[in-house]
Amino acid sequence: MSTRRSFLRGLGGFVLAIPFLESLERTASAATATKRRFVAFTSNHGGALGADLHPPQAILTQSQNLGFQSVRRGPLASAYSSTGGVGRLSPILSAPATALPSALVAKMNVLRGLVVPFSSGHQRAGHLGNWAAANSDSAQVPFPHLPTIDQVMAYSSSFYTATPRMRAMIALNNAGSWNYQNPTARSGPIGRVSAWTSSRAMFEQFTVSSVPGRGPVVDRVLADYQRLRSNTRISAQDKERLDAHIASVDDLDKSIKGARACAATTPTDDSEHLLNDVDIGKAYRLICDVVAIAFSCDTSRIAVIPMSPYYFGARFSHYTTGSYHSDIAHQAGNVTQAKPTPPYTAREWQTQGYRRAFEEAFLYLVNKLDAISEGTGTVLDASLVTWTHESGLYTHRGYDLPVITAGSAGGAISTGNHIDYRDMARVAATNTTRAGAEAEYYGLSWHQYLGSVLKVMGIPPTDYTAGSSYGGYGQYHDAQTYYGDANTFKIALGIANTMLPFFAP
Amino acid sequence: MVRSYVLVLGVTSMIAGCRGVIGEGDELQPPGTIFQCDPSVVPPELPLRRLSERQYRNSIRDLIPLLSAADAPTIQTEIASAFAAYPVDSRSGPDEEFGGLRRLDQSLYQETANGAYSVGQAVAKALLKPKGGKRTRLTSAAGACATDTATANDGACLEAFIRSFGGRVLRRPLTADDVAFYTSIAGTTIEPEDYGDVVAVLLSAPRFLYFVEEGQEGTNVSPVPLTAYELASRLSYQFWQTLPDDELRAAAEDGSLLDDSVYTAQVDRLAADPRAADGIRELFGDWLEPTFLGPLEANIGTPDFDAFRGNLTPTPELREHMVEELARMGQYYALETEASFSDFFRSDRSFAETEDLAAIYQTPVWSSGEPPKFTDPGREGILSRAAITATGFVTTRPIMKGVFARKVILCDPIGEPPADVMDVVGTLPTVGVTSRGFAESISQVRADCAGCHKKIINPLGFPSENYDGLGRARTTEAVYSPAGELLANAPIDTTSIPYVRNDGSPEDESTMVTSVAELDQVLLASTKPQACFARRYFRFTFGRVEDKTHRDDCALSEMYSALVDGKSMTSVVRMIALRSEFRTRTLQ
Repeated sequence: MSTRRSFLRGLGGFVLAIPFLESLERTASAATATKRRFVAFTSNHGGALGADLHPPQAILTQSQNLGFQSVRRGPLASAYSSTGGVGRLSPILSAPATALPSALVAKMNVLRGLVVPFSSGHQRAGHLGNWAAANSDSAQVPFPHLPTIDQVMAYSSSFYTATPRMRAMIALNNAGSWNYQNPTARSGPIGRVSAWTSSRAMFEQFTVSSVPGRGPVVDRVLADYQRLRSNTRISAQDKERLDAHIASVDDLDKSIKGARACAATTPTDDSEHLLNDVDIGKAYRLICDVVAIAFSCDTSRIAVIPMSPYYFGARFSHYTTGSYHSDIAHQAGNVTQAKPTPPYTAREWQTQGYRRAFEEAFLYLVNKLDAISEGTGTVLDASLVTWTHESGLYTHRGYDLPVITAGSAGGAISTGNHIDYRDMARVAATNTTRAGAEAEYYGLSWHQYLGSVLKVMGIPPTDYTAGSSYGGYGQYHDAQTYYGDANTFKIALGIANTMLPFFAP
Repeated sequence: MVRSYVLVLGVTSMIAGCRGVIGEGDELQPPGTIFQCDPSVVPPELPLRRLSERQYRNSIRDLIPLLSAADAPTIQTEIASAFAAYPVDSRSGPDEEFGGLRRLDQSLYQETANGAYSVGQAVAKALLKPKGGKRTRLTSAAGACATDTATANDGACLEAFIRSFGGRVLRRPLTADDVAFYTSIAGTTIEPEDYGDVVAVLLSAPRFLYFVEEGQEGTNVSPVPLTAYELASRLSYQFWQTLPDDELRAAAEDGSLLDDSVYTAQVDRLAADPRAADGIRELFGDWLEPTFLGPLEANIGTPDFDAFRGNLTPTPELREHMVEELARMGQYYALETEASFSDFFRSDRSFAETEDLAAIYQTPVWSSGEPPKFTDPGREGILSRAAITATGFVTTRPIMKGVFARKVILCDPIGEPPADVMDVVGTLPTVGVTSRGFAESISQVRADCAGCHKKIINPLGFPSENYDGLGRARTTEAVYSPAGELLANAPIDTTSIPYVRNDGSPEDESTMVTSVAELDQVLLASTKPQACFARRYFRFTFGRVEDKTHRDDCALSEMYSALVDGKSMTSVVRMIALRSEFRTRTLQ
């Protein structure tokens, strides 16, 4: 028997004896460093009025002058009420008090007033920073594709000190997550990252089975590719793609070799066939269950969960009697409308959908993570869970974008805040003829938010600032007319490489 | 330089009056029907093309019986869950929602490597699974020498298995280096489990997951002729979406496949084989898929829809059958009958293979032979099929039908609507108006809408207004109140100036049509559908979008000319494989 085979047998026996895998190296470092996790819930289509989504402005009692504008903060607890078994921060941010208790509110933030400084059609990948992936109006987003921040984290050696079993869990195919063809080498074209519709399949990736009594043979697969790499008759471009595959096999090899045990119960149900109007909540709970297991076992530390089932034919709003796109998403801003018929107006349908998404997806996962002890706190405490929306107050509008967060990423961000980044001295649109008549204001840039998240997660600027004209994360469009005036545009983007005010403790 | 301008049409005014373009930048300009064939130009090559997900799955499916023919169905079941780890291909292309093809998805993911590895491990485990205390599957795969107690024959046994099974997996005979490498996976003492490991590594091999093409030795100047085995692979995956069969392998093995007459005969054989249906159905299914068609049953229970649908209760299956009909129609005309593109494009035959769709068409259910004619004399072609006309609402969607025709059938771009356009729409009355009336009122609300809607979009959707929201023929449009009260039986207006070329020419500005049949004639006369299909089939064949600097125009122009000239679609389907671009490889 060869030496190599003996080694693999030993490893194989170990791996097969356990149901789940975990990095030995990570466990050793866990005692001294927080294992930060990141979750991005994203939602698209339609807008959410301030009166529906945000706590009352009256709680914004603290102000900070940035020189070119002021920003405001207030304690989120001041907006919280628990009446009749319902915990409430706003009409959308409300849920049974058991799901939204005051203790959880203390771990949340509600941000508003962020701006995408160019015309925003659809921005499925804009949530995480790749505006070039907009599926409309491409002429107004002239810069190249960019890896999204979840992928920047996933391949940063500062985030993962050892190769995890799954670098990121991308649920559902919503084109929200992008990376290089060869993420390790940061080379090749940038494309969409593969996503999991099936929660069961995603769960099954936590383990890699081998032939009984044997170990993995990934090293042999790797050697096979390296053998071809030396072939002189394949082209240079062939080799580029070959290198990308080699990097993936190498990643697979390392993730298996770093494996160790973690017990968890195999889910009995699957999200794949539940993405319909009736079962959508159940589908998301199944996905969140798998994410919670992964975070608990340290199988992965990143999850991206699009909450735009509009694209999958299912909606949290449960609106089924017409076109959600035409009847609801684009109509919520109208004062008068023929459709839909009572009992709900389009605005109410939309609000109802967002509230359900908040309760059935966001809060469900947040509470699960908060129930898992880790160190002196919980997994939620070590996490930053975010919910971002494509538009602001009205559909396709890039002003007053909201962010809901939970968790402090191991104390890296301040929580329990309502923070308003709007520049109340500069009105972008009065909207007097729209539903709610809520004015839009200029504010701090979405780029600053993304850069702040990367900082919070411990990603060094060298991992994401290449090509950025402002030293922060992301590409910028010089059509500053969308931002009011050129000078403020430059100032706002000039601070995009700094932490958002009030965001850090 | 030799240039042959096949046809020049002024189409550059297409996007005039429109703002921006839906989709990605590749189709900012209408591709039109201008092809500039310069035979001296070397076409580009897609680097290290990978098997599509479908090709990968089919290949695994067809390799399993080589391990154990008797247990193949059982093994397929045993490994089924492992496939969930392999990434699904997305419809891709310049406008993935309209005319996107899964074969254009050449993304590489971490999951590509992970998924292939998981499937390989699952197959290995299935191979070694004992049955009645014996490893009969392994015996079947490698012979008794793999499971007997003798050790002297172990080395030769494993090597023979590697040469045999490996040759099928890698789609060419193994070299000495290959054999040495795969043999080294086993230890010095060979055990049955070593066969499992070898299988697992082979099923993740680069020469299995990718089209590794080195070209014939002794030639280093692009384009390099493919080897016989590489050619066999291209042919087999083009037409059958799977591995070469024994006959094709034999032609590769003896080198006869490099002979023109043998090669042509093989192309004919593969295209005529029932297995060719798999690829062709994917082509037509992807190209013509109406992505805008939502669930047909969603409005059941609402008073106006219930009044409208009468005794017809739409189901999710009905929607599937409508969409499947488009692929089946393509299969029939591209493979099963000698018919021209015009015959396909103007087909008055029903391909309804189920009772629910046949009931809508009022035709017999079709299963084989000559498809039945539509009883409705006005129904023909693609644009009047239920998949395109149905909405699942009381109303139709002339705008979406127009977008489909313009983008999918003509390959023309369409301007981007203003972001707030739907806010305006919301102010329009929707009760008591016809579908066409509503579509026209949208176009007239704002000047920046009219530029695209009045000429580029809506006119292509109006001629099929004699079909309702469930795809049924109608002579009037029943207009209901939300409560289900019949407000009117409004006359149908199918008249339209379709502005197919939109070049400002007097003919284009004045040609009026009153039906889908007349519209189809005008569309065909423009030759845009023929050019568009040539582009789609080129993309499907080579897994990439055609070169914008005309380096692919020779292949495109030959297909286009054949389609315009009325040659059979079966010949056009074969034509691409006979071209030098298909039989050579550009090294870049």
